Amino acid sequence: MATIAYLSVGGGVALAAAAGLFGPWEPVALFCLGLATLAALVVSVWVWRPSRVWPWAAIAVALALFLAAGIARSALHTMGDLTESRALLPDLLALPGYLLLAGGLLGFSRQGVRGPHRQSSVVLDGLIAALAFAAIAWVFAIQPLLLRQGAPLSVTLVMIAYPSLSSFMVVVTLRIAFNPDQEHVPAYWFLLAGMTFMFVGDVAYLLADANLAQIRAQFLDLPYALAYLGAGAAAIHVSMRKLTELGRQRPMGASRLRVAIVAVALVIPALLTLADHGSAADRAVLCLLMLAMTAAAVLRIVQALQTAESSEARLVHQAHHDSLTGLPNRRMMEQHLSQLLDRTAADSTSVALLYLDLDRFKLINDTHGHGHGDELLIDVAQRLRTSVRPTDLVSRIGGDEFMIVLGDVVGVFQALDLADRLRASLRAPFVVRGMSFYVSASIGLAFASGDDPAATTEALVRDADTAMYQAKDAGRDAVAIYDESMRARMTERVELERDLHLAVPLNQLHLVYQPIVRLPRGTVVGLEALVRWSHPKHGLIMPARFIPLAEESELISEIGAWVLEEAVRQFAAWRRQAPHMADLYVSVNLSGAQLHDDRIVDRVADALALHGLDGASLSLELTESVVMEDPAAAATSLAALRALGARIAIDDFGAEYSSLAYLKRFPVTTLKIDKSFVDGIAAEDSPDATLIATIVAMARALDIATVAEGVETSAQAERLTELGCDAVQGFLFSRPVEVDQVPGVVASLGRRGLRLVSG
Amino acid sequence: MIGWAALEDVELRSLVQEVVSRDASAPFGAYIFRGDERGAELGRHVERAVFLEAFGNTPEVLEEQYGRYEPWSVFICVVDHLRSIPAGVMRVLLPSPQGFKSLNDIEPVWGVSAAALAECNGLRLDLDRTWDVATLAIAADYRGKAARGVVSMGLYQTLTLAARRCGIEWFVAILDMPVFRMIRWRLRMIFAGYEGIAPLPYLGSAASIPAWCDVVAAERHLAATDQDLHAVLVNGVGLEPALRPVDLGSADRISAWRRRLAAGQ
Repeated sequence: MATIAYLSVGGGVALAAAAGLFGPWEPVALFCLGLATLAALVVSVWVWRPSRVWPWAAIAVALALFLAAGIARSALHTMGDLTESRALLPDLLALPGYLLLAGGLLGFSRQGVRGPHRQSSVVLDGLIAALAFAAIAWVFAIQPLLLRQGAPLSVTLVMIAYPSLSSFMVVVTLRIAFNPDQEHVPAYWFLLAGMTFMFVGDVAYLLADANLAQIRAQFLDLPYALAYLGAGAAAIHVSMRKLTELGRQRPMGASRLRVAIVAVALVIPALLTLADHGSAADRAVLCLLMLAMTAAAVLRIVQALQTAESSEARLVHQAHHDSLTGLPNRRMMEQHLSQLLDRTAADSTSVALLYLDLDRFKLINDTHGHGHGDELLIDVAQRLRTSVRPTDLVSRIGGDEFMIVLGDVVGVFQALDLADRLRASLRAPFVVRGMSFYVSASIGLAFASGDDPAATTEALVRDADTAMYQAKDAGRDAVAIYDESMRARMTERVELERDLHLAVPLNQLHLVYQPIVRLPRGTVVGLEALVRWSHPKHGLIMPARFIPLAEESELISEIGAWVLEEAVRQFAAWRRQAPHMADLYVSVNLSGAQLHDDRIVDRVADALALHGLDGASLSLELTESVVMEDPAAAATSLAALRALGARIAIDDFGAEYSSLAYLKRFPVTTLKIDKSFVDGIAAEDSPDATLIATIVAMARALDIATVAEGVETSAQAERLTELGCDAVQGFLFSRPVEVDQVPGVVASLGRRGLRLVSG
Repeated sequence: MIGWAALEDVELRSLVQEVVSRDASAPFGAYIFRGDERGAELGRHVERAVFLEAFGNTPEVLEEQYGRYEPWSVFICVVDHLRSIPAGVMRVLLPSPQGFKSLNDIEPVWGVSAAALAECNGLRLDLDRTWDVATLAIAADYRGKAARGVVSMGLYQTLTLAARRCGIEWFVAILDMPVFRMIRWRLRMIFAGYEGIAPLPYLGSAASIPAWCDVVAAERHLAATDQDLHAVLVNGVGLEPALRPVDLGSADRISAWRRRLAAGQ
């Protein structure tokens, strides 16, 4: 269609030129061209379906009126008739057409200039250009016509109206050129050309009609023919849709085109003054036009200065605020903290700084995308803001990290209360795009009293950061208050994190196994593989200390993959060597990063196939939080893993979301009841007994087995048996034992039932 | 004064033994007691303990606030069968000449009448088919742990089943914001706040908000959005292994009792 637009322009120009040059068919050719333009416009609107139809409809009706006016003008021979008997019917048809055309063009150019300032600057630029056109029209058309005596007022007004209105059309079209938010597509340039030709045609027609110039009729109609072609080509071109749409927002800068047009417009009246030799009154009119243009230019300068001022204010705000949440950023937080510290030194009050980091937030971003993550951060910011005192400052310093500055703190306990309040405010689930998200936070607290000369912004931020990492190490969803010993622990933590990168390649990790025994007899049904790190300097390190580091540093996938491979390999070896272990299964913990890794199903399948094990030999343990991070994705992965025959166990059940209802949604085979429920179960009137009974009852109804963790006494084991728990795991039966001890321990438990085995 | 004195532990357990089902095999059970039944004391016991702990409401405050609604109060209780103690309670106010507390308290606190608020929100509450969920309390031992879901869900289930049985079409309540948020999440948004008013301090709660539920619309909403929850709340199916469902005959007795009260007998 774009090619057709260009061809139609070329063909039309040729046709119009031929008709203009070869005489008698010229009126018919112009009418046919107008009719064709009208038809092309209607068809184009139907084909391209622009977002707004009414501007095009207005233009189409205007074209129809122009055609009718042309016929009437030709039939009534109004050209050159300046008497009172001149027929005004053609003008009564044509002038409403101009109004409709103006409406249609405004429909394009009003299509959203973003913001009142941008709108008024476009209007002012357009006004300057319009005044320049008015000056030209005054000198070359209106003034000569007014000088002519004898023409009745009605005829004079009608004749002046044409160039005035068509100059208005050009200005309205130029507004699009001034609008930085609207694309200047080919259709626009066709349209601008059409309006310019119409203006030229109207000026030429006025001169000829008023007998001010002798112009051949063929040449009089040529600009109109080109105007029709411009309008038709604008409609046919595919870019016509852009005329009623906003483009991408561009800076309201000084585009070369705008500057050039405004500069030319400002120069025109001065040049016209040189050329004009009219009366004092005429010069007064020109002078007024120039004053009006100057006023518009001054207003434009004032507005530009205001825009620069507000831009500067906006830049200052942007420099001190986070663009996503609108909270103060790190720079503003540091300035505020610095001012508070200066004040506390003077009046001996205290300041506290909370460093709040959301737990496992990265997983939300990774699994749901940054859109969900960003919306969640906005909601978190809102809750934090509404949970502090009006005088406290909540800032976002990046990613999922927030800092809260508390001034005039009475004591560290007040700051601690506030930190707990902030944690509590995050407890209720966040609903983002119809999905519920659970968020917890680790908070580091640093405190500075006014008489502490060492309290600086930098030191307080560093201490709060250190304390936050201690809160993470303590198991997350916790508050830690900075003390001096943390500095050493922090240093050690950094060293450990560095060393952990080498743990797998240097074979420093190994697995130990803890038996899972069936109640009431105590026979072993499975083995849970637990990882240990033999550090060359610090000795044996337990997973509670290094797994959080692995999760932070993304080493967890590598370690998890190693554990899976090693546990399956070792278990296959036992199966071959120890017949009494043939019916057992090995249980491996799966991290969130592993579960949400697209390759997890293949990895598990490969490991089982490589070592010749069936799926039922493997149990994969996940915590509730890992499953609930992305329930839909988890359900898909777990279903695929279950299809391999692997058992799916929910670890630490009851400690987190505690919703029994969701178990239906996942192919869970085993619930591992959290140790915290087992601890008090032997006591008389323990509410935990009812809770475990509930879990067991619901699990049975769903055909899910139950394993109680952390069983240390016979009383606990007996109570769990009464409550219907299927299996248990804990020191009562065996501590986690080294590889070489496992076959012996399994055989021993199988023979003797309940027996404490030390590892 | 009806039943505001604390129950001794032995008394409590003895009362539970007296009122719970003899064939209770599930860990928990759901029951409805009229305000004048002995079992209602179980509900008041939990209400007293929780409201004192959470909002500092003393028995005197509770008497002042709920005393005039006592004759029309019904208590939905979830009882721990193993320990023989009540785990959670919901006090429901039946239609009465006293009106509903959750509607009566809107104007003094929020400065706008309940009728105007309902009209603004396009609600046509049929007060004769409305229940007021006046209090909701879960004993401390049953909060934040695995059974939390069972105890609170048992209360919601009993409320909806009994309401259906009694032809109730609307619930109204004034809820503490954390509870409101939790209920909206757990019950798939079937409770809603009124447009045009914000949470305000109420009876010791830092922020509470009036809420309503269109029972029939909620059933349709649940049927379309959450089959599992619909089964639990509307069909009364899904919690049985953990919670003995309410005997709906007791809901019938509530209806009959209310009719007698209304007739002034």
